[in-house]
Amino acid sequence: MRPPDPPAVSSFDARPPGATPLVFRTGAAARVRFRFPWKVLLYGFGGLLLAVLAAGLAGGFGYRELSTVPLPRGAAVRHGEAPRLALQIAGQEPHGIHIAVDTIANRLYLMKGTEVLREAVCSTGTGGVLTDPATGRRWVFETPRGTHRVLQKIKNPVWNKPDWAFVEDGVPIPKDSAERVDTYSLGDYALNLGDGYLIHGTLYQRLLGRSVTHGCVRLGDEDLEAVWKAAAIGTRVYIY
Amino acid sequence: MRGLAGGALLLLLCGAAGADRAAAGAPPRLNEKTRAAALSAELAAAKSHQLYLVLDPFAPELDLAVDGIVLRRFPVESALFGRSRLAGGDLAWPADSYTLVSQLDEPERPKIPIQTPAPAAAPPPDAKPGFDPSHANPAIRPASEELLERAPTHFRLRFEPALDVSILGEAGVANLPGRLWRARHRLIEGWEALWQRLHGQTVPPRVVLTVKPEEARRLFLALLPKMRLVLKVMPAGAAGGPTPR
Repeated sequence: MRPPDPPAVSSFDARPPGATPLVFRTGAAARVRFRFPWKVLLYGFGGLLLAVLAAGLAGGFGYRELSTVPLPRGAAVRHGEAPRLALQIAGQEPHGIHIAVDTIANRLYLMKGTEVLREAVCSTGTGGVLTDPATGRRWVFETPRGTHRVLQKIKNPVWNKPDWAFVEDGVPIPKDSAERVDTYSLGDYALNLGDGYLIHGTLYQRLLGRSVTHGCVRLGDEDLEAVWKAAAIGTRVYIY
Repeated sequence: MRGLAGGALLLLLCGAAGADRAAAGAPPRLNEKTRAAALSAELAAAKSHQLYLVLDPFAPELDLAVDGIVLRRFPVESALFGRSRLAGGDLAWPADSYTLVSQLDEPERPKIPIQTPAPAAAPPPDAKPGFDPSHANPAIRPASEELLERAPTHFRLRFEPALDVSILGEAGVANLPGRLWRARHRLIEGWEALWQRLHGQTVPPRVVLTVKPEEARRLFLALLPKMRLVLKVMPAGAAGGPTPR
């Protein structure tokens, strides 16, 4: 007698009776329906976003008040050296007359030690740039920041006009040096700081307080006279 | 997945809540060596005759100085010192003296127009000899005024040995936009630290100074290439200074 046909769905169950049978499908039924794992992707992306955010927060929020951070512990200094160093720092300060120029506020301070003897409205460099269309030469009209010294005190200064003065005015550069001489523009006094930079007077007092110069420091007549008389050759000039 | 999200949230909360602020109290007591090392760095800067910055961590204050004298003080509203938690290591100043290594971009300078020769206008009656009416009204707006307006209020400076100084020019530190900016700033810092750590780089400690916007602009314009920054300590026994050990 022919054995009975196997059932369409074969089953194999080695487990105890009563347990849920494992079913293996064959043929077309074996094809698994692919479902895109949106949830996995969503949670994964969300988790990653949170982790990145957390890393940013953990990395970025770790601050103390500045005063609570320990200073580096010095090693190469001898005992008892701190007071001597403090005195040496104080010794660096100019105790006599010095001049400070604030180029943003256009103020000049005549100082003696830490005392302000005179505060004057001045004019400093425009910060602009001039280019000679004929030669391509370029000049930046900026008051040089840093430490300078008075190299020369000049009464009734004469300005030997440089090339840029003619280029800016749109006139040819003279070949005769006598045509460069200007006896009026610098006022009655000038302090030479070197490299062509001066503290001098102006014909255009109305422009004091504005950054309109070619790099020099301009002062009003009274202030210029006071500063000129107080300063000596070698007086430090701090421009910031 | 929920575990991951929960863990991340926990980390987030830990990071945010753990803003490591020690209670502001009396300045720490400095020993002789620490004080002398800081003073030595300041003396070296003063002897250079160059402009330098002095940061007083105890005040806190930031000064522009030269030859041992303060030219300008930039009032600091709040000052924090931090290092990413990802960096590891102790929170401490790496050195007493630093050198600015950030590239300071040359500002965009206005061009000065070349004047066209024109028939001379009559000078005012009280004008001095040599008065030129064409020079009495400059054609350009002073560049320094423009430069001041264009200068950034938020910027970061990198010093060597490795130290980042972030300047936040904020009108109101406590207002919402300010808080949002700071949160964003710290997130970016955190990610940068993570990036540096992953690439085996040193994560520098960072100083965050909050100043007024105009002070931030002025400070930016006062910077010079390779400028020094030194830490200030008061001499032993000076009024307001730390108590000697």
